[in-house]
Amino acid sequence: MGRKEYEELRKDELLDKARELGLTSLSRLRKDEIVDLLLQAERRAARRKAASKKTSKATASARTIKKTASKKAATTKAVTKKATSKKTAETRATAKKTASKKTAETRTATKKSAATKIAPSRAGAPAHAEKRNERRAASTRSTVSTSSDVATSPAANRPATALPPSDRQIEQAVQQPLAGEAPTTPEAGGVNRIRLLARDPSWFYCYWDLSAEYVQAARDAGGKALALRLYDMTQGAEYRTLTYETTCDEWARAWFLPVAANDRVYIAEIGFLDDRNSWLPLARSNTARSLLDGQQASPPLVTRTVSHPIDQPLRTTASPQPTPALEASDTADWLNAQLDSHAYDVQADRVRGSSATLLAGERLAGSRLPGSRSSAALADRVAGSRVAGSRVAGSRVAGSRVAGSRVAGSRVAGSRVAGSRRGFQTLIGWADDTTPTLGHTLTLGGKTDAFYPSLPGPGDHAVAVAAELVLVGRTNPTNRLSISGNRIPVGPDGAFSLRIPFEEGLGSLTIESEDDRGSVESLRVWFGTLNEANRQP
Amino acid sequence: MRPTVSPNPGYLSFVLHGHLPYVRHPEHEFFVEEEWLFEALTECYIPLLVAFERLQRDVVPFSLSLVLSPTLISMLDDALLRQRYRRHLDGLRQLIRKELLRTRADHRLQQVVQFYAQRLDLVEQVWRATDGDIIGAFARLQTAGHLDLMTCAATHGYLPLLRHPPHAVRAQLTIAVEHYQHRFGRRPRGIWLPECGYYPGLEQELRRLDLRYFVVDTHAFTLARPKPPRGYTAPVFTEAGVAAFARDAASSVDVWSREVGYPCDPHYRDFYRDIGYELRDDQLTPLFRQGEARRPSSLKYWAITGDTDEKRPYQPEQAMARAKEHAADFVDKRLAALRQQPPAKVPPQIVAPYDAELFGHWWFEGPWWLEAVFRTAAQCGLKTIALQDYLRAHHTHAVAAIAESSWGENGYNDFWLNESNAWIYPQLHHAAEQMRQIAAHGVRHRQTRPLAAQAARELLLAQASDWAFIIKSNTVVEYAVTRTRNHLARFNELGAALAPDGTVSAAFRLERLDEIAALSPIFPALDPQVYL
Repeated sequence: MGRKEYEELRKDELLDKARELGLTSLSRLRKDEIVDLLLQAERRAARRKAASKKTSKATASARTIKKTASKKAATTKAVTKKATSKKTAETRATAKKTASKKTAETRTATKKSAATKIAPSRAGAPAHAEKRNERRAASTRSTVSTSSDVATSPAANRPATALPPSDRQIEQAVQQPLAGEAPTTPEAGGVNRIRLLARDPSWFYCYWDLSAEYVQAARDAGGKALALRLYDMTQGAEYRTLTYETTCDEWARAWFLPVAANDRVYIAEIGFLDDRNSWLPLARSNTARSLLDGQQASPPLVTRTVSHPIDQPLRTTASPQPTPALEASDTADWLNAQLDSHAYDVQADRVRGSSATLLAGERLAGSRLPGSRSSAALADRVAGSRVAGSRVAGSRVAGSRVAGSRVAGSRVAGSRVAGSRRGFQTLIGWADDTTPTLGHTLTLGGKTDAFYPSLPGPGDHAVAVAAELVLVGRTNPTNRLSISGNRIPVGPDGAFSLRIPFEEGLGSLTIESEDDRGSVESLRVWFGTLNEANRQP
Repeated sequence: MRPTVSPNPGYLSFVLHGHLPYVRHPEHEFFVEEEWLFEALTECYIPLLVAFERLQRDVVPFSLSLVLSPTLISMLDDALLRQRYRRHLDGLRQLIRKELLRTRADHRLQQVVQFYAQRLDLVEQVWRATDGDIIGAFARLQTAGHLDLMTCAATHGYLPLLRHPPHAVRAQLTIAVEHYQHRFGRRPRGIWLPECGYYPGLEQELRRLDLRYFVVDTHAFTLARPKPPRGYTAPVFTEAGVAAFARDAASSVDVWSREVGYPCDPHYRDFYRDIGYELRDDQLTPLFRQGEARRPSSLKYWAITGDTDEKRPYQPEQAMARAKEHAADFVDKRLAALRQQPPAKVPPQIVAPYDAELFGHWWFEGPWWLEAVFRTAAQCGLKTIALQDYLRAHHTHAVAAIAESSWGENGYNDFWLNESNAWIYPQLHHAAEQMRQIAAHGVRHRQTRPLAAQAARELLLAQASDWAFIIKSNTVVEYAVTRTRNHLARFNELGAALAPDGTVSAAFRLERLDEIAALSPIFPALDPQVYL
């Protein structure tokens, strides 16, 4: 079909056509974008058909070439004494790797790409290894992508409640075809491979090895220029972002690629660009995380300590969960998602004088009390509140007299919720729109105060506010839990929760979880002002 | 509530990393690069051993961690190299006798030569007393509780760049642990990551082998998430439960800095002015005239003096006195740093790791200084403690994810991965992938197992970080390139000889395996199964 015919179709009809051509997940695109992709897919299909005929003939001759290369490498000569004994004069500087190692030279790397000319690394490889790699290449072939994935904005598309995937999940995902992808490489065997290594916070290094038949097939499909691409995969394979592209000479076997941002997950792809700058990928690398530079982490919001006596075997623990390394903007979403998934049956009510007010677990606080709320209600309430990293009740407090407890520091340290991986899962949020229904007091350290502040005086516009901390967590249901010395019941699913009036002077809470063997793991959670003085243990 | 404060001001933990690349050339009667080991023995390992035994004899409380890399242990245990070291000592003795005659008219130089003569007496005495078993002598100090002997990756492979495929790292670690166990009769508890090269996830491999602690550079903690609450004055546990200690930057500067470090003191011996370069051919003995170029004799007669070519003769007594002053200064600074730490249940710790070869070789007075530090620390109430003992005493620490880092220039991987040496890695990675197949084929038959094992040795030796380091340092580049290529060529040759059905191809002479194995008989108990 031509462009005109496509343009006459409705969008749902275009999507049907796209599915027939193997293109999916296009519903968010505009109609004209879908038409472009359909036309590209049609052209690729036609080229692939033509290329597969040529490459099936080329394969036999290519294998002959490989055998010859193996023989050459096997005859590599051993080093002669002459080659090594000349170095006497240099010896004194060598063994002394000590001094030069520690000199603090200023990093001199520039952002200029530097090609390294490296001879094909596989020369001399035994034939059986090549066959194995051919099989690997066959599986790689199905994972290559089309040009449709360029520069997708992850922030725009990522579901609001999604956690960033772990490095391992990303690694697994890049082995799968991406949405909308169709294979563009020939059916014939061959070896394509590209590897990505982190060199320093500014640079990646990648090297590759492409089989002649793949390169030829890409050329036959319209490929004009060999190019490298670097994608940010941190938000997952479906939301990858192209961060760097460069064309490179076909004799190059390695390249240094500039890092766009630190502590992000990347992959590299090598392939060809055609006349229309469409991407014909040949190989995709492993994932690599860019290195951290001199940016220090914020002071910890949560400090977890564990005990591992060296003369005892390390405890067997559950596999580590991915660390929810969230940005401030993610925190509210995450909090909501956690609260929804926990399905809390909230039964907190006014419990004055008790050591804590519990939100989690219907068996925890004795009998069900009237006025209990559903999990949805709690989620709604918390969703409306500010979370770590936000100003607390800023607009509401501004211009008003704040009575009772002042909002300490009005910021939670670090704007980051640190989830622990093993014994606990915790999250911390603010509840600054407390309502009488859930009002309660909390005693920690023997102090009991009415949480709701009194009005400073008569008047129509008098207002008083206070802040409340909601602490929600999970541990092993059989563990004994205490928070700053107060025993806290744990629900049958291990969930626990606590609401604490947020007062100035509330520096930290220590949460201890003791397992049935008496082993204690503790978390220290810091609140309040970012004053180093009150962070000392 | 304030914690109970310990009266102990804190701990000082020295970690000396002893490592040399595996250099052994039986195919040559003399080989210049073998001298690296001999120089280190004479100037570093034996003087350190003497210092530790003197402290033990004087009942000075001292404790430190000492890394002995598997390649260093293998060379110190090697019969051929021991025999050649004996020859080296004889050659040195011969040269000193000749120098006593040559310098008899110069009283100041005569004194220096006599100092070297006495020093050689001491070295030979230790060599005889231990029957050449220097490793065994260090093991006895471990048994006595003064040393915590740590292991290192099998051939000092730079692990962050070997992680593809993962079994390459696993093999480097497993072979090191098995080698240690075989040599010392116990499993190692701590490991020195080559060049402090750490990457997230490596701790899982360490845990698998029950390795419980390692050392990283300071910025691995600075960039950790969350930030370790006690900075670098306490270790952290990784998620795997393996502890990480951070290098104290200030201790490093005091010793390493070229501008302000102790070794720059004008009284100390000048490293570069060696009579091996300065004398005429006829003034040297045959041992130091071998080959086409001069080489160091380890007889150096001049003090650093200053930024001048007019050097003063070296005066060992003055240098030793200066080393004691520097030791007192070092202890004072560390105590001051420890006392600045906020009170805590567990006293703060300063971890001071150095290359062992710094002491005595690069910094000639280093062993004197180290001994004086231990004596001064004991007098001042500063407790020195090995890393293992520290973890035994204090086993509750914060958990953090530390950052990928190294202690190399710039702090990351770039010294071992740059325009000069990047060509190594595609070949190393590809060979490591092949090794898995070679191992799978090789272990099927008893007669092919040695072939697969030797292929593994060649791969391991090619993976040594020393080659990339030398290439980047632009020192003996040709030697490093040759070593890398030769090991890979032998690896390819052995791999090609092994047919997929596990038999040896008819074209391969089994005598060839013996020839290759004789060149690099490291890790005799290596089981290729480790790659599966």
